[in-house]
Amino acid sequence: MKKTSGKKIIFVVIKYAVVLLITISMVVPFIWMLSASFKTNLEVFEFPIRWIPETIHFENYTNVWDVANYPRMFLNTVKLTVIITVLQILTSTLAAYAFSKIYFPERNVLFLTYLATLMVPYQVVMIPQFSIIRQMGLTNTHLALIMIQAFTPMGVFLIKQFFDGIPDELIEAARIDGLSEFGIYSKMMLPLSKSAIVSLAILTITATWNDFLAPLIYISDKNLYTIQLGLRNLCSEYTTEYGQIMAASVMSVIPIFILYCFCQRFFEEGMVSGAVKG
Amino acid sequence: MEKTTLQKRSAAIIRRNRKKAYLFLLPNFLGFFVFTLIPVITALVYSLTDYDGNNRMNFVGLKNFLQLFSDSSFVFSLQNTLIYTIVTVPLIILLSLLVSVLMNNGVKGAPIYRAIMLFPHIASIVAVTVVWQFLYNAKSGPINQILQTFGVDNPPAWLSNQKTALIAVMIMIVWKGIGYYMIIYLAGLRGIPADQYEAATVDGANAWEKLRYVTIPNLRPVTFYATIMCIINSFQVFTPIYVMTKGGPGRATSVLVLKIYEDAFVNYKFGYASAEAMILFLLILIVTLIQFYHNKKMEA
Amino acid sequence: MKKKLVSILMASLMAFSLAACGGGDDKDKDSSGKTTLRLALWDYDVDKDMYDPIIEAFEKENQDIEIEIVSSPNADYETKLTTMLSGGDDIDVFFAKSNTALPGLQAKGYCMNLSNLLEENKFDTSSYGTVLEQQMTFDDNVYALPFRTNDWVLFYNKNLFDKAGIAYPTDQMTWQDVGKLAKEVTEKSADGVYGYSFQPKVGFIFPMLAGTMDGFDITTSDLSCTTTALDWILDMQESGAMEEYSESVSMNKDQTYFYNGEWAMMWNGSWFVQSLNLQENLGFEWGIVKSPYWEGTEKNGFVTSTPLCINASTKHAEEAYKFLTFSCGEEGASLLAKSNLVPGYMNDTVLDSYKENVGLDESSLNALMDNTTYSFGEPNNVFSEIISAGQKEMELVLTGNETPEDFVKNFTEQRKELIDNAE
Repeated sequence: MKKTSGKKIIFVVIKYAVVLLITISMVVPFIWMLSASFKTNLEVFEFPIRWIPETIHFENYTNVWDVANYPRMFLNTVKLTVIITVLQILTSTLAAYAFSKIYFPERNVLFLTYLATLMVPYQVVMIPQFSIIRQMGLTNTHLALIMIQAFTPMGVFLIKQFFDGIPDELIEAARIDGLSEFGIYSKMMLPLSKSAIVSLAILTITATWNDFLAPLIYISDKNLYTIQLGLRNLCSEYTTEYGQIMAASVMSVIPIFILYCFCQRFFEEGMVSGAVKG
Repeated sequence: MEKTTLQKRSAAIIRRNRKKAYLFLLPNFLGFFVFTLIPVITALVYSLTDYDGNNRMNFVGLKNFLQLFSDSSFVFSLQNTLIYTIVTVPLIILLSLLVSVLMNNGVKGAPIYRAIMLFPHIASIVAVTVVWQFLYNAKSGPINQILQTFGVDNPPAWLSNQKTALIAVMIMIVWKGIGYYMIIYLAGLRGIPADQYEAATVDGANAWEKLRYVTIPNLRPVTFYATIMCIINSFQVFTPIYVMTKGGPGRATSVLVLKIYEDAFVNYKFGYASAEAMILFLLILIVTLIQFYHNKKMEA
Repeated sequence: MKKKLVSILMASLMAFSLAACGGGDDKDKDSSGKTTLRLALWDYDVDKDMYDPIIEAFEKENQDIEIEIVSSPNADYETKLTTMLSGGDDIDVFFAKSNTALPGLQAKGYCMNLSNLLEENKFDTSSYGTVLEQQMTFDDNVYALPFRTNDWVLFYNKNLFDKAGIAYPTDQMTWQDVGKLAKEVTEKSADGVYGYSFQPKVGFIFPMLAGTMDGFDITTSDLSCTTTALDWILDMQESGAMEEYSESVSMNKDQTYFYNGEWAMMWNGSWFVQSLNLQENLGFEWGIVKSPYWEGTEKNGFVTSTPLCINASTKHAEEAYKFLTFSCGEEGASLLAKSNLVPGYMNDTVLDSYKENVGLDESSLNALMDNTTYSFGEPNNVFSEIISAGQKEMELVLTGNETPEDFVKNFTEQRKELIDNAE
């Protein structure tokens, strides 16, 4: 162990202070939410804040569970999230490979087209998109949500940025070794860009899980509701049931949080393999 | 970036490449074409018409665009959007860079902090906004209660004060955004080759110099990506404002997309709303191009 | 070569999208030959008790028609409705959020012109009173029928008045009287009780402004008369007789606080009778008096209605017409009256059914009858935009960001801008 200088100690103190401060500010609203979800409406705004409620009002949860048909919404959302994420990753990585590693004359124009559509606000696209979906007879189906969310240009852009960081020489060498383009894509690019793919997966999962505008527009049948649409409905119908609204909010974030905790290991792995690219 | 060797190849190779490229592109492009590109082009056409969703649409040329600037609500929303972007983007980028560099420097319990910091980003915006709305409550909200115990006698009314409403929204967005960009930066930091730091150490560089001359230049592509995404996201901010304030009080937190939304869905002026969207599109395009060329110049 | 490839690609894309389009078969008629009518409305779960009896009765009477409900959250109803109507979804019948939203929908051609159908079927529209003429008729043509009408009246909590030892409100008070009364009640009641409250949403407060002048028209009238109302609200907030608007809003407050016994008086539409009757264990008696009016104006109250429209591009006009005239006709009205709501269609039978089921005392019932009304004025193509701009400006006054004089100045400017830009 080296002798630590005074300067270093100050740095370490500042480092921990900043990190802890930010961490605390990130977590406090959620703890407040969690604690409020077990309180009666009157207790929610008590001050000083009683972080652990005197009596646990678990009925907030059971009420929400019954009223909103939570298990159904949960299954719907999971199904959508999985399908959309798989499709998104598969098609984005394929397209990104073409944009990043195959030279063809229109690629810049095409890629710019992709980029450009990213910049158009969704609210204007909504109406024409709805007409298309309706003409396909897909309104009020999950397939509508899958179609409009699985091919976003965002994913292509993200993966392409990562692919660009992988040296072209590597690809050239593989080509000379006689590997097919698909072979290069599946045997080299995908393993090399695990971290990017995991990032995209997490991005897509959270976006799909949390989206409420698209489900609002396309889904009418209660049996097809997603969790966010259900939450929004509940907020609209029970505006002053503060405890229940908080309980519903907790229930809408818990699954994705658990998934994230579980995925953190994959995240670490992804980063290690990402480091290889240098 | 193109390899000159590639460019010199014969037309036959280009043809073969093109075929391969299109095969790779096809699955994504099909979906993209039908569900994104066609709607976008349709919206573009709408912007030159008086389309109202139902009646026959008439071509009106640039009338919608000319009208924009005599529409005080539009000018107001444009201003708010610019303020919002100019304040939130640098804050998010700088804070997430700071946190990621510190975390990368070796912090005990880093995975836990990281998980916590990313939580706001992954939590549903509807849920998060509902919580913040209560936190911001002027009289009985926790934020003001805490401020009062610290001796602030007249804490701001946050969401109901014309002057603080936008600030309140921005605080929430920064809070929500840091985690994601921190993760992006951390991924970038792990990708910086260790030998560059070693070389810098040999040259006698201190921590600040390593950050300035090794870390930040190496992070340029990441910063490029993060800034563009962040700017695009803040130009397009909608859901938090829609859920939290609906643009109020008055028009204090009305941003462009909210105005577009209102014109399209409440006033049925699709043509006009599309014209507003095109302005937004242009703004984003300009920013992206500046960034793009700046980045290219730095690389060259 | 390049062109060829691109064109092949394009052609295959077109083929793909066309093929996919072809898949869009209607499932209008199921195997039993029933026609499905799609009905758009909001917050179905809250209003189940109102809709279900009507729909059940209709389906019983028309075995070949089935009603499918498309519900969305209250706050998102406009988004959903607009997308469905302009995206060409097969909505057959839909509710407009309120009569102020109707002119916009009508102007865009979403509502079917009902005049001919009504005439052909010799449907008697006299039972709708003046509402049909004032709010559903454009250029002498009828575009909607009023499902419900709502007289705006003053609800009060009798227990709070008893406890404070103050006499109940009476019919035909001025707003100034109400203000005085509210302050008294507040003073003599426990902490946390407010003498008066609005439903804290701009849409529920704004109508009060239109009552400050006889014959008010929001498109043309001089707006300076509205300061009376705004000053009144500010005075109420300052004196503590009414909770600050910003506080109520950030707590999402609504009628629940009247149920909780925290608001002694509340100006609200007559639908509130139903909501109050549905509350179990309310724990207090309540009453209704006629709407207050402003000193120096006629004794008018405000009236709103909920229009029911047929989508102009429906494929089931006949069935939709059946449903429309059923729900807005005598049968629907009687059922609606049974659930304590005031139907747009009103005759002796319906009125008796209402009186019988509503459980109101004589004087409260009287408050709901024979009211004269005011409105926002003549509907036009920027009507709802003007109202919405006014509501936003008013919000700034309520939250202490602007003075009533600022309101008059700014709202007048914005109104001019909206009218100019519409030309």
